Amino acid sequence: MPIIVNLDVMLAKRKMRSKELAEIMGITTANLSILKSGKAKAIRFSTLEAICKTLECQPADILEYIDT
Amino acid sequence: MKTIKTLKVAIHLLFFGLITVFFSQLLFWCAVYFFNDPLPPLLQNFKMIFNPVFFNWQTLIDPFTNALNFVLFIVAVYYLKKSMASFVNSLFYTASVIVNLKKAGNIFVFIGVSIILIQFLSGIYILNTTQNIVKMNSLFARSSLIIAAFDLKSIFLMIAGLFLLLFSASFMIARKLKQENNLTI
Repeated sequence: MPIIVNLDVMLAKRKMRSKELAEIMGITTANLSILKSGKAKAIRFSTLEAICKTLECQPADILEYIDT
Repeated sequence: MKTIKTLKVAIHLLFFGLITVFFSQLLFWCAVYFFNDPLPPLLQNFKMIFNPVFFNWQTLIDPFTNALNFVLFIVAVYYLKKSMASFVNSLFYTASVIVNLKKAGNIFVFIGVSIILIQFLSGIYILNTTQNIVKMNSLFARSSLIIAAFDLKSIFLMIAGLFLLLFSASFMIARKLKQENNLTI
């Protein structure tokens, strides 16, 4: 898929662990792992909103389009 | 859930009933062929079928196809029986259900088509052999032949098979959508 999820990059920048983010957002670590690994087929606006709010970033910081 | 359980019981009864009929038939014909002498005189007469006079493809193709279709029908019911185990556990979109429904559907359609074809061909054979003996109205004979070939049982079986294929295709799409939904975070 040409959409890349840069969640791990943002987590590293904010020095935050996945488990911590999952707990704040209220989703399971398994689901967050699916999102991080790029296996997710879609992302809800509510999830994106929660990520942006927690990591204090913009959606573009997390999602990137690469033309393959 | 009650409907699924009722269907499961019906399919199980049908399957074990068919298996019983199949093995009793097999036992009967083996007894007629191999152990004919101790049988009652009425049953001994069945050995006539194995007489070389009757043993040609024209006379045997109809019973042979029926026997083959019967075995195929048991196989199709077996695939339905396998699907029912998943249905009871509410696992509608598993790969095994999709594959089993598709196999059962294909077999039902095959049986329906083959019955129609064989009845049509055997009808032509009977028409050709009797035309020399009895002068039949050609148009009447041919039209009745076509009507006789398309009997309700085989058409119903074909429709049931097509429905199973439709269910299989629908479940395949549903499975993809479910996977997609599960991977939406």
